[in-house]
Amino acid sequence: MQKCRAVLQSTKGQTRGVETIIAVVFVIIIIVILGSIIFMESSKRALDKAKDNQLTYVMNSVENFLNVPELKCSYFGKLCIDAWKAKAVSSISEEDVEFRSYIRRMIGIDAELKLVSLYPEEESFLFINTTSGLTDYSLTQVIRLPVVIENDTNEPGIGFGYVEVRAYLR
Amino acid sequence: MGVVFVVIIGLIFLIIFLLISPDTDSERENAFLIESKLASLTANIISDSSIKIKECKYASLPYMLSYCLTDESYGECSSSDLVDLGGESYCDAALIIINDTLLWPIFAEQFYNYSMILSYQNGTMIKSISNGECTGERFSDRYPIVTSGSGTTLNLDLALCR
Repeated sequence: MQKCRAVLQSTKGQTRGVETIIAVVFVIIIIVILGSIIFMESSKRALDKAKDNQLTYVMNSVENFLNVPELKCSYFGKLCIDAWKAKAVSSISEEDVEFRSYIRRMIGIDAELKLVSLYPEEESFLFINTTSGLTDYSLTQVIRLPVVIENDTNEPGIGFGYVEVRAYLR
Repeated sequence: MGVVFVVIIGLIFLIIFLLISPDTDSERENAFLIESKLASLTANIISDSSIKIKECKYASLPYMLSYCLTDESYGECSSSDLVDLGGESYCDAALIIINDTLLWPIFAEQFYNYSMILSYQNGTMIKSISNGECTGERFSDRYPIVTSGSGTTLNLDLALCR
């Protein structure tokens, strides 16, 4: 009888031990799952936030860049691009690596800037390209900044369009 | 015991999750900065009297918009494109140019829905254009337009949403 009780107690103890182990494993699994979910979610949100901040930064720095006398219309106070000056800057930046890296520093990011005229004539050309062509980019952001465009070859000489900024983020 | 432990751990994670939840104010602020910049630059173009419309006897957009205030039919555009689109009068032609040549390529192609309302300063609506209904986050602001010729100041309300 005593032997039987001892066997029963031993089995009970073993069952309790197994239960404890199962509970601990279960808790660890739950912790790992919750931790993974929170980590992935927080990483995604941090990336989204960084992307938004970067886009705002890119927009401001591009706007500052577009306001340099080398691009700006002579007559106009607001954001206005002289198409001829843009073409000149484009050809210089194509040939001169230092000039291109100076623009890259001004904009603060690898980007392509395309001047698109919507009125009076529809035309477009890529006038700045600060990408190296060697880097893999994880993200591309596109933003279109409305601008007044002065172009004496068109009639009338002042029209409008936008600067398409294609920002490449690593 | 195990269940209680799991519940406590779950609560701790929930608190952490809430603490790192998105900073919606910051996100909204960024979107607001971008949209406000895009809208103000667009309003600059619409209110710029140095941009002349060659199809409409080189009238400026603010001048053409001043025709929206009257029923007078003079001030007609000659371009067959605009006339085919119903933009024979200066007012309609200005709205067609603003919608098709400016707002659509800049906003609709960037996946924004937009609406533009032209109104008197007392708030009475004169004309409006839009490319669809706004259901998501919305930005809107009011810009003054001084119409050339009459010198009347109109309100231009631009709203953007996604």
